[in-house]
Amino acid sequence: MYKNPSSSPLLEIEGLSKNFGALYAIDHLDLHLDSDGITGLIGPNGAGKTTVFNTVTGIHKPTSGRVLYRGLDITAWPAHRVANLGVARTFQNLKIFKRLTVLDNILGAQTSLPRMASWLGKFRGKAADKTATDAAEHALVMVGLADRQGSLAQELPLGEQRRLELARALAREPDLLMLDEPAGGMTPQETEDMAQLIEKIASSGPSVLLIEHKMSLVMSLCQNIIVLNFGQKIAEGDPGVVQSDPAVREAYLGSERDHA
Amino acid sequence: MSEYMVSVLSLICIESFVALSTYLLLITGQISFGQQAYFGIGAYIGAIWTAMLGLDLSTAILAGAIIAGLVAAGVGLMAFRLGGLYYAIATLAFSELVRQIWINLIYQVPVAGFEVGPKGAEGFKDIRYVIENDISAIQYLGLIALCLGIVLIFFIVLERSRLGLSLRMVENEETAAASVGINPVAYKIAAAAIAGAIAGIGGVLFAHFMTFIDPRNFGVMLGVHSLAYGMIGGLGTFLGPLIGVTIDIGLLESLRVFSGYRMIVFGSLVALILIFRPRGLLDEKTVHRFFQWVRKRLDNPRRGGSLVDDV
Repeated sequence: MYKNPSSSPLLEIEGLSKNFGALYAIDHLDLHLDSDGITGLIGPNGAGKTTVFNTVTGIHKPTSGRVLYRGLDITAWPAHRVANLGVARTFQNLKIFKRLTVLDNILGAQTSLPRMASWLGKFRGKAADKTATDAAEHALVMVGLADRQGSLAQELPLGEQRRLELARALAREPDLLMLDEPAGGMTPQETEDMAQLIEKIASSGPSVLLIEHKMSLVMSLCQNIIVLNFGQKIAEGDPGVVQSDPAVREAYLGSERDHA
Repeated sequence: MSEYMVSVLSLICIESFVALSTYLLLITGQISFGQQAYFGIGAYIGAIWTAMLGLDLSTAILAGAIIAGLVAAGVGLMAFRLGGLYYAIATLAFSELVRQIWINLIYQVPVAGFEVGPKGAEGFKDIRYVIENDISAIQYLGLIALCLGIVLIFFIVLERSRLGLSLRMVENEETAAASVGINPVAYKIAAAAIAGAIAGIGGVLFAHFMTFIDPRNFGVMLGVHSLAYGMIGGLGTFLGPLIGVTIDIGLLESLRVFSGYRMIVFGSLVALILIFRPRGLLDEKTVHRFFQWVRKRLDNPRRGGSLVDDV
């Protein structure tokens, strides 16, 4: 939507903290995301990855710190306003519109849908507005769900539901796409397909920020990886750098002392 | 049509306004036990409008709708943060508060030698607009049907429009709706306001149908019933609550076959449907199947499709 990038980085997080009671989910986190490419956000369970997503996209209000999007201070903005800046996301625990059709899931997400777009859509299986439907179908073709557009979302198997949620985010034509474990619960084959899909999406436009536990996926896709532990950044760099970083090894495997 | 038939149909139509009002909130994910408050506001405003101020019924309907809608928007503004059960309790509390106002509201003015106006718990008598203007029962039924028709056209348009889609998105998954740029608060308050206005129209029509209203008409049982109508009939289409009303008033109350056992039968029906069809008879899945079937018939008029073997 804001297609002329200024000199400011796409996303900047400054001293961001979020605590739930005594628990610091994020603890004075600084993070810097430039346009282009796929950035991985990894860390052990409970490291605060999803909380970073939720705080940036307005689901949680941060306890302190700032979030800047293209230099604009969007700290504590409500979710719909952040979304309307061109930030789209998926959810770790899948939040699709279960009782709506696959097509309606996408149509409802589009940024430029005329008010009456789905008029007669229920009879024809298509929105009266050709452009809106074409764009929605394009998103569905991209994720390989074109032949499922008439199904209710709840009737899809998990792998297809994940792809539907991804298509919904794509329908927003985002500049920043935040994916929270897009391959969660998927079979190795589905994971492989998802990896190719994410690569295809990233090459077609949006910058991607990716949370994922499947290391093979992260290492093969991401040019840059940020590692969190206990709400703090412990390492950042390309896959090779991160993999050989002792702090990262310690976070994932425990230190030598712990095992002694 | 017999007089009895006309009065049963009138009641079904009037009750439909409250049922549709509750339904509109249900498809936005808000469970309200309190739509009878706006029904009551409509009834009292309408009665004051024609019986005390001597104005006519068409403007009374408008006034009832607007005032009930505004009050509902105000309540919506205060209550939108509350989810699920808490919202339900807040709506219930508000409707009881309004009923207490009716019980304590005594304000009568002399009109043509009679004292007219709300008289607390004794109610509001002599809402004589329909009688004075020589409107027959069947003509009045026509007026009710006309108003209901307009509301139904609104629902037909709503369920095909982006607004309707957005409301259902908020109901399905509020966080996800916000993540695709929908402001859930704005849609919830809009839905609350429209729902209040719809109940308000029903209230005005009810007052003039009865010619006498009483705070007991606006008790919690009305709210419980209107919730049940949507749950029985189904949440997939606005026809759902209408089916619910027809089953309850048309069959259980009017046919008198169940006479004293009406509430037992009705309660059991609600319980059974909640168990076997949690989203009602015409739930989203059924409605979806139906449209798929229609679509098949349209695409292939000769052969037609089956309702079951789809996709």
